Amino acid sequence: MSKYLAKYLNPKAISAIGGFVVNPKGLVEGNMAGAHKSPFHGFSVEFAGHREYLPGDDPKHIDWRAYYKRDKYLLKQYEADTNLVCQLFVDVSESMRYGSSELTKFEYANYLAVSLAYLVTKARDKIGIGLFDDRVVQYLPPSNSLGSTYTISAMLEDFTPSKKSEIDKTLLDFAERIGRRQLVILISDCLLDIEQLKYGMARLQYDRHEIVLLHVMDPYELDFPLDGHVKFKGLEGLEELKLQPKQIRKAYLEKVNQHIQKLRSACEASRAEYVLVNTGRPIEEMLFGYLTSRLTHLTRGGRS
Amino acid sequence: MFSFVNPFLLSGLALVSIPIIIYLLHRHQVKEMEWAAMQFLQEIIEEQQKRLRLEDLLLLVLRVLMFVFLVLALARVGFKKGSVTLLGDRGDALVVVDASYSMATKQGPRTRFDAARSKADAIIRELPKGHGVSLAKGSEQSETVLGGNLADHDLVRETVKEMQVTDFAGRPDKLVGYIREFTKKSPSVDQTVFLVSDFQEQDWGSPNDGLKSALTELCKKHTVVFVPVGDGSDANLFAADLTLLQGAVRVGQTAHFAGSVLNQGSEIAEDVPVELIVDGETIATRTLSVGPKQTAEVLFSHAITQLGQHRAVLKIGQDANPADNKTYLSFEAHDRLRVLAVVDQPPAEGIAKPTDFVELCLNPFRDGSEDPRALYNFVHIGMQELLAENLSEYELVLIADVNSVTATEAKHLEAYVQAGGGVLFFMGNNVSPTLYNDNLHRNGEGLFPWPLIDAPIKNDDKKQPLLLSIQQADHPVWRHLVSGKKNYMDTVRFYKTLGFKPSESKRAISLATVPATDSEAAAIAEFTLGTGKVIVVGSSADLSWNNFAACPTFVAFIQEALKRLRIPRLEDKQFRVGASVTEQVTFEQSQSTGELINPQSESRSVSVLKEGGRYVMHLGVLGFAGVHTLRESGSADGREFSVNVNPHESRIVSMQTSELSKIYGPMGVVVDGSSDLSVAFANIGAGSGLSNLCLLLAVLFWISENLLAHRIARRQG
Repeated sequence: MSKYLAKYLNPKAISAIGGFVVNPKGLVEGNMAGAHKSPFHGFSVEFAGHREYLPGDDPKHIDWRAYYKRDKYLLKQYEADTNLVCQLFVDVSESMRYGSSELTKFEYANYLAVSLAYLVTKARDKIGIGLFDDRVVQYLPPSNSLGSTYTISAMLEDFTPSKKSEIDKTLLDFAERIGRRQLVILISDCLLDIEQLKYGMARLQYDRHEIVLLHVMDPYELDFPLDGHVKFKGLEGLEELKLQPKQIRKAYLEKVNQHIQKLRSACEASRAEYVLVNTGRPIEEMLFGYLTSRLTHLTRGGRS
Repeated sequence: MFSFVNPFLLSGLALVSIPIIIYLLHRHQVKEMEWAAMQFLQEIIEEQQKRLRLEDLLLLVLRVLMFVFLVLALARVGFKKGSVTLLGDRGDALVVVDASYSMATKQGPRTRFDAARSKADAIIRELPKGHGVSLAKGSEQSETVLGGNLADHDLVRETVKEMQVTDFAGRPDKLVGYIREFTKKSPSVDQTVFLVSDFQEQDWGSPNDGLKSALTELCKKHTVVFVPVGDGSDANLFAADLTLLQGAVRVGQTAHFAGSVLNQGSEIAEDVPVELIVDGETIATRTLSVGPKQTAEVLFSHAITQLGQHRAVLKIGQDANPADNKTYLSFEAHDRLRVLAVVDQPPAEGIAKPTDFVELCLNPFRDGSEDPRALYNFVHIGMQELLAENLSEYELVLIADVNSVTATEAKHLEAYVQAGGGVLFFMGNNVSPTLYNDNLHRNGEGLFPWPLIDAPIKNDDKKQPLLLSIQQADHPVWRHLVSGKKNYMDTVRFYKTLGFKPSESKRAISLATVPATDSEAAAIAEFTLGTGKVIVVGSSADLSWNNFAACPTFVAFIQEALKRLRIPRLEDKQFRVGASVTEQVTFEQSQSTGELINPQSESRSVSVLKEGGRYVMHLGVLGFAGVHTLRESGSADGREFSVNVNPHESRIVSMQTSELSKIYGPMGVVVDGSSDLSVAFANIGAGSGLSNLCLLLAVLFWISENLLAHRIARRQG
């Protein structure tokens, strides 16, 4: 456990979203019994079917009634419930350092990650986290310890974004590190090559992960309300540009919307959930809204 | 080259710097910020950078141009083409109407001056409101009619209608000088000067260097527009001269007048009526035919019955220019004029005297001075009696064949000449050149500035006359004897003569020369001393050394010499219009003021001033042709003198627009010979139009700037 309180564990956010549980939309593969449906059959409550006895099976699971009827040793099988493994994959490239208000995108992403980690661990599910820029710079394997929240917060606190992001490589690397059928929450400002993103997300989809893309954007990036002559100093090593923002605002907004639209399309293609996160909104409000909509979606889908 | 009505407003061009300063300030007031989503900006820049820069520059240019044209419009810009200002909305205008008497020439039913007034009226009417106009009469004595750059154009136009032709001649150099002075004194920095004139070829056709440089200088600072109104006709007759054939007129005797008419045209003028009017009464009318560029003389005789002053006018029939159809002569009819005839010894009764031929010329009667008809009363004395005579009582002192003149006698004569008297010397066998030189030459300070050559000049063959060569053919003594190719003096034979050795002297003129030993010697000379004159004939007054005294030419010579030598009186002088006259008066006359009455019966008071020990009256510039009267204030009687127009102005051939443009265009003068002043006023319109165009452009640029800014704003969302 961390020696100090988690910086990014926002009390307001916790109090607002404390009642929510992060449920996966589909089946998940945990390694512990839990509250979430598993794709595997096991020995739990709900009957799933029979299979022949094999040497080594516990004889107590033999369905004797079936033996009498079919003269075979058949074992009773039940649907298995397992825990959720949620993997956070947070973009720590230099572009995340931008913020027009008191919070940078990186800080906002950190608040999101820690808050989600808190919700996950609170439900006794496992939370893991990977940080990436042009590679996976840090990875914390999943844990259902409540202390994970603090560990994650501390890990993020100690990190300073400084590099360019490369999403395809890093997502492949990340996919190698995690198992299958997990909830993967990608937090990024998505200032990257969308084709690379699609490629990475396809790899995750192959492993039947549920993917959520939290697209973090600063309100200035979304609205471009600048005036006068501005020299834009590019993060991630891009050259400077001297512009009159007013002159290009409309074109800029068009570009941003096109980008968002492309991201949405990419997410749809990968059956990923796309969430646009405006860092101008309070975190608790954003999370509350998101989790509420997620809950609504799940309910409508027949799961609880 | 541009010109401006309100050049001070050009300082407003500094406003042009405002958009530039704002643009530069904005460029330098750059906020720096880190930015993550550079990829979008880069894409936009790649797509739109050129357009954005172009729009930025276009906006800046539109704003700058808007200010530039706004300021130009407010400064009321006009434009110059080359060095010639094509009349923009210039500050003020000076309209100079040529009022020299050639402008009285008729062109159809109207005169050139009528046309000039119409042009001047049109110019003033077309000038933009609010711009000052001054009006002047142009001539050798140009005068400002309305100065002060009046904004009331109607008043100036009314004044133009009342302007009249003067009797002055036109002198381009004086006219341009006047314009330069006017523009220098005018508070208006740059003016448009309209000169409406007939631009006589003789004056304007070949400008001298002074006129060229003066006009060029004027054109550098101001706009000068020549508006020619004359046509190319040259048909004009000029009543050139009217003189008395005799030296003076005796009351009760017949006066003989010689009039001359000059045909300035290129065609013969036939049946020209010439009329002599004496004291308002037509004496006679003759008819003349005058060849082109020729002068024809006509003689009149008229008995003068009254003592005192008379007026004669030679008048020719109507022609193109009536202003030069009269020539005036004022003369006085005398009872008797005294002539002092001095010879070596007291003349005995009945003995021929050397002065007899002269007396006969002046009193052409058998009894000479004794004849009751004789005008001249000859008083004959010997040289030794000279000092006893009061010379001022004589019209002329005639000295003939006197051996010598003593120093006292020389002084006596010098005093007489100095005061205006005249002495006519004839030489002869008795004359001692050496003694003459002692007292009359006195190293150039005596009556004779030149010394007499010691010995008489004669040919070796005594029968061969000396070759007499006439000098100064335009001198009055040769008036009826020598003119052009005509030389009646070629019948005169000088067999022997004394001669002067000519040298540099302002007081001496050689009138005729004969070949001497080493050079030409002056056989007839005129000397001046003070206000008087001396004429010396080196030969004799009788027939001993020549045949002159027996020639008819002698009469004319003596008559003219007498006129020349007589004590000059105002009434005997003939003046030209434009002359500035100063008249000497006696001490008694100086006690009161004078009054000058011109032919228009306008009187002007004239003060007596003391200058250099003399009392003088400055009559000023004589501006009218006709007979003037100078009288003592309050007195009914006065002295009359005649003033005639300058013959130079009677050549009326005008230059046309193309000729004027060719000569004066390079100097920067605009020549507008169009009937509707379209050259000048198209340009005034262009100037005004240019100003309006600037305003229109400023508005257009303002609208364009707004449209572009609006479009950019829309694109910016």
